[in-house]
Amino acid sequence: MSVPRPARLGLRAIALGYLALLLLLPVGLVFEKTFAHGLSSVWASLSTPAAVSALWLTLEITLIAVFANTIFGVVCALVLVRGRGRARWLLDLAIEVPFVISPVIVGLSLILVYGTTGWFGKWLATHGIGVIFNPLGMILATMFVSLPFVAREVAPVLREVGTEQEEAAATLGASRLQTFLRITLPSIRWGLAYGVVLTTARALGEYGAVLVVSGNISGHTQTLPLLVDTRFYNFDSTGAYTAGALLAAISIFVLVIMTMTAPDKRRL
Amino acid sequence: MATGYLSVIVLLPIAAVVASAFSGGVGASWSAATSPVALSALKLTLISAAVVTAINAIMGTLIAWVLVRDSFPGQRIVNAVVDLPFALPTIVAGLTLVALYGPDSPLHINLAYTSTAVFVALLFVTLPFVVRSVQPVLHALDAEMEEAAVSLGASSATTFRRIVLPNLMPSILSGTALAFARAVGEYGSVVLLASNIPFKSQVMSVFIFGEVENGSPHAAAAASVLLLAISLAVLLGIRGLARLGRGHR
Amino acid sequence: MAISLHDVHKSFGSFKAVDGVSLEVPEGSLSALLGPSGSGKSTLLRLIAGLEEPDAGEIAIGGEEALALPPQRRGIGFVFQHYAAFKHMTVRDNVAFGLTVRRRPKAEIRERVDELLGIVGLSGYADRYPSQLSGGQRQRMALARALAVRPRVLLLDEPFGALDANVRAELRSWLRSLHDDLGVTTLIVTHDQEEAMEVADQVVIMRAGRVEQAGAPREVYRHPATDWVMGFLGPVSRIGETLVRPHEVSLALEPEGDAVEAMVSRVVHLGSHVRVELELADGGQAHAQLTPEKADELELERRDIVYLRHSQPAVALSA
Repeated sequence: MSVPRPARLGLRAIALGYLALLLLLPVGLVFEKTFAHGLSSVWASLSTPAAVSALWLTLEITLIAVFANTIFGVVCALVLVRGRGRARWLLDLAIEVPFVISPVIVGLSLILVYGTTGWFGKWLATHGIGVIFNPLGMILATMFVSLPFVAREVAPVLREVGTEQEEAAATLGASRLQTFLRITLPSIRWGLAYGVVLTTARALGEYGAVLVVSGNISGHTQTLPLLVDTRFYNFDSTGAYTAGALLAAISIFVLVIMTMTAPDKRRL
Repeated sequence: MATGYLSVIVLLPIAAVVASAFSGGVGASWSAATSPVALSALKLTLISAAVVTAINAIMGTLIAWVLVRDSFPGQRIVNAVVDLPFALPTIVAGLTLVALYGPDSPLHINLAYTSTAVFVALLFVTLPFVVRSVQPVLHALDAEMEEAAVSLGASSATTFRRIVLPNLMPSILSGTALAFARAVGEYGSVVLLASNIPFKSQVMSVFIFGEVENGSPHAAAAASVLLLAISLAVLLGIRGLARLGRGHR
Repeated sequence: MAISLHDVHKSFGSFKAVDGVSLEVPEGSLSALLGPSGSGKSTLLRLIAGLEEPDAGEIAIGGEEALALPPQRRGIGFVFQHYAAFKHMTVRDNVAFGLTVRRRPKAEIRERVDELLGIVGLSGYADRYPSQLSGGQRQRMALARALAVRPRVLLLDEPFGALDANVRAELRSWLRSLHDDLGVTTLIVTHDQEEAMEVADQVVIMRAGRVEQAGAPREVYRHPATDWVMGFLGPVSRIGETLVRPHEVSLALEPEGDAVEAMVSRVVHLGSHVRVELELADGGQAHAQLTPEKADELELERRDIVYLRHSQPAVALSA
């Protein structure tokens, strides 16, 4: 549809202006404030024991959550698309839950299950397993919020690819495992990659749920987002901005990968 | 096996919240969840979510249009930038908003501790939803329909209004539904700038957090259930609207 | 290996796709399952392949009960209408797949793939990807792939349905000569009666999940079991109480004997023959097929009156 030139330029200007004001300006400002005091102060701020430990913890938790949710996601997509159970719509609905629920409620729910007065509280205490105020709780929280992405990205791809290639493989003698590894997985690889990237972004950045569940104990249950929180409330604004900038830089890196693996319809 | 994992990670905790909300009896929970402070937070949450979602439904469609139908240098980068709120941790988003609209704002706008801060924060985080749900639909839209309209004498604006928009409506609505759900529960980006001023700039998620910190998990659970129920109702409402729209295709 | 079906039934929900089919496909023959959409022919093929399970009945391949075996172990080769090419693999890897999953030695695989690519005429294409091939080439690749593991039985599900008309014709005769060379028992599903008649030793006509008739092409055409079969296998006209083929109708400008009067409604010149559409006195319609020479001789025009005879006793039944 050909829109007259002035209207087209006008729309473009509005869109770009809105994006710049809303997104680019604030993010740019964080980097500006970070480097305002020079590189050495940035390095110093990032190499404190708390910061280093926060970075490692963030990466560990992210890795575990992504791994678990990738496996779940692929299995879930297979069940949703190729399965035959009648309760599949329930599964479909249930994986939408993490999208709809506030991270604070997620944190609360975990306390109610695994906290000292929670459903498993006594059992966990007698077995010396700490969930709340411990990394384990943070892992569970992160797994909760980043659960749906792989399943949601893989399912439509699986649906579109159809079953013919798998049937052909079966008639040629491939076992179910061989068919899955050689035919199914390769056919979903882009959807899978994109789903994994989305999961990673979500897991890396999780704040609210992890804040509630962890108690934000420096050196023990403090991730990078929580470090930003602590420094902010301790009026260490430079420290907060620096840690925030690091997170932003990681996120932008993940964003670039997101763009590269995005499904064709969203790519330009 | 998948359902087992799902149950442990998601369903079990949700059940615990619902159970806790009603543990002291429906009456006690209800009064906890509808105390003046809670109601004020709820009001702010719902109004800001609604306004912001409406704005980003319009802006989102516009941006999707510019990304799909227009062509200019750097378009790919702009396309990527739209995903920034998805990729950025909420706390960092909050930080960026403090940088721009807080006490040291270079624009000399100080929104700290105000309810306006809530609006701005939610505007940031809900931006991508409608853009991303509209883009593929717009991309796949049969150009022939619009060509037919134009050949029959319709102007671009009319063609957009009568041909394109109705076809985009389901995707706009589903994007809006997701955006609303996100806005209603948002915590990290809101809490730094708007902070926690009861009756003024406190949203539901911050209220619930406060109750947890104060050792009132049941009140927190009650408020949570209320919030979830409202979100669910709105979501189903919007999805229902979208399905109605799709019905006559 | 012969295929033998006995009283096979299959339903999908309330839809009865296969309703008591019994069938023999002789060893080494090429049989066609012919029928309109929804007649159950594809379902029947998939039941033989093991891609679906029957609700009742017996299926045997080469004398062995097949139902207990999954598709992997029935020794079948299957070719799909839309090729089912492994898009992420080269042509070579596609054709080699059956051998690869059986862990055959690399040298053996290589040799066999080269041999097959030669047979199907894709020798130079081994390192291309399916997306770089035309439809006809993809289907030939699919055939090579199915044949690579030396199946006992070859099953083709509307293999040429997705191709252009001229490619279809070409591949059709190529398939027949391939079959003559290799001698593998083959069952092909098609809705195109011309294809079935051209290619098959035995035509099995299906309708609504049942076998209407099975026999050699000449046999089913000349001696259709029912009116419906006759109508399905080619155009027919009803003249009085009998069904007649257009090429069995002769037209004259003067009445003769028991000739029937009719009015010309349209004359269509189709190149190799001329079709004359006629309106009968009882309001019915008929077609006659004439050679161009005969049509010239008669100089027919719209609204002319002519007199019809059938040159051969047609199948006289009103079943």
